[in-house]
Amino acid sequence: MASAGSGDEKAAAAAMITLISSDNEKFEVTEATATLSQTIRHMIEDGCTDGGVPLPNVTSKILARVIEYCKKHATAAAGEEGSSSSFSDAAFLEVDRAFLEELEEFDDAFLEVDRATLFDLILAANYLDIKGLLNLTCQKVADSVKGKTPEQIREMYNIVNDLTPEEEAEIRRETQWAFE
Amino acid sequence: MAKRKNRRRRRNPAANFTDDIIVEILSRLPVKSLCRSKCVSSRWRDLISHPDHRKRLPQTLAGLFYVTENQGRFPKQALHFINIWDRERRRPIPPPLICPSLSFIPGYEDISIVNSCNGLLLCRRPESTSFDTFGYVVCNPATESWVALPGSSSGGKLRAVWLGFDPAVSSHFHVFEFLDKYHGCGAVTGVEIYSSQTGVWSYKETKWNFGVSIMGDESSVFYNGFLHLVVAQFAIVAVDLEGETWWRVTSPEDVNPMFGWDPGFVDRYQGRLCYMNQGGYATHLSIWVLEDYATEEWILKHRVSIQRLTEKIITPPSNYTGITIHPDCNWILYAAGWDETLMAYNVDREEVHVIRNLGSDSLVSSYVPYIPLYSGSLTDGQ
Repeated sequence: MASAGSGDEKAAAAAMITLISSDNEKFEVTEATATLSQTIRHMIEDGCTDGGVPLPNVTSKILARVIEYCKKHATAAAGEEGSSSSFSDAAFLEVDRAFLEELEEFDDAFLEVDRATLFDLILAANYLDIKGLLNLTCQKVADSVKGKTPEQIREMYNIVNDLTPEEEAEIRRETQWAFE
Repeated sequence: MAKRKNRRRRRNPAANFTDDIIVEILSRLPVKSLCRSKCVSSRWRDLISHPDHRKRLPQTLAGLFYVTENQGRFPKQALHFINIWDRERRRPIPPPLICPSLSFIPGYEDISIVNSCNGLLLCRRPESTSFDTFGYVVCNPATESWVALPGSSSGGKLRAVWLGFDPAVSSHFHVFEFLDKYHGCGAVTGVEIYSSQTGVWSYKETKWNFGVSIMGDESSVFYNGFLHLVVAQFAIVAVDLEGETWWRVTSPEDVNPMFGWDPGFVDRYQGRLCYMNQGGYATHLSIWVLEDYATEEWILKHRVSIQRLTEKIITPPSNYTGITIHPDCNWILYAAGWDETLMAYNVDREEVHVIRNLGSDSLVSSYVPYIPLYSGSLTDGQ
């Protein structure tokens, strides 16, 4: 058991992945952090990460934030695995709960960004296929859309209304109940 | 510095959002916001309306199943489905969301819908060619999945049967079949409850402390883990999923049978149990809510004259048929008039909307409201 553990550790220490942002900045991350991204996980499985993973769609500014998120959540995932396999006593559950609370606080603070950054994070989370981050950021946008009028939404998201007045009137008639 | 700030403000990464990302965001909206968002742009409208995205987006009251009868045509009785919010004026008229024949169920030709509950339909299907024994089938038209229930002790002969299902609480459904001494007339003696979790019917004796007769056409709502029914004894009765708790409360208003018999209508309104009837002299529709089960105190929320509800009909009738309350807004759906005009009453604005005529050449015998449910599946539909 002990030897297997140290073997894993060695493997983890050895497996570092280099991510390269669109502006050519290099980020060294552990495999555990990188594989929160399904896109990178598949690349690792296919053995095409030697010499770094170029991410032409993600700037260094955004990639740094994404890595910050993945690091935090990779630790959380490791913690969860540990708790389910070997611990079940109340004291450990207490620690677990504290950790989950901390993670929630981290997520809240992580979302304190301007709208353009939030959108960039969504694009990056979608491209890298990081489910947790996509959930988090899309929920934030959905929360800001909730309760807004179509005019306000267009304004917020810079969307041009290309519906004809007749088409818009038709939708409003059909969904009149939702405009109360 | 100022210049840079300006440039930053203009940058709009949302312009690069794929359809998938937008649907991801839309799927997290409450259904009311989602429907409003159709007005944002043609792209948003088309994404929200697209059949492929429906399963990912929240759903609300979409349509009605209804049965028409006309002696001068074949078949005399026909089952229909309409999307209630699509107006006839719109060209082309969008196709109905659901094909009402339920052709994914074997033996669908002889099937009839008994009632619906949060996306599932309870149907009755003859077990033999002589049409004297029936089996129940529960189906989800959105996923075209179905499950046949084992026979209950009555052989499905009784009419007093209801479905209880709340996907927010459990993926399992229950079916309540009320039994009485004289097969359909007389006081209820107990209930057989089928649970899709255990796969068996279990019998529980009634604990209602007065004679309740249930015919099968009572207004009902499954809410809070209880099946509620309006019964002829000026009361609303309820029973829980285990058949352990039997509850009753007297209707808030006595009805004078001299002015037309209206036992009333039970549903959910603003997150509470609600009772509606044409009280007193049958001139008004009253909406009552039960604030608290323990105190059994009804609070009158709204009152509107029947005249107002039916004034848009050419020969205003003195009566209406309550169908349902919209689950996401304060609109009451009802039908009235010789041609069964489907209408909606907006309680907040006190406005009446005509939706469409459903029975200009036939009688409409029942309405079953329908909210699509795309998640979960009734697994053993073979």
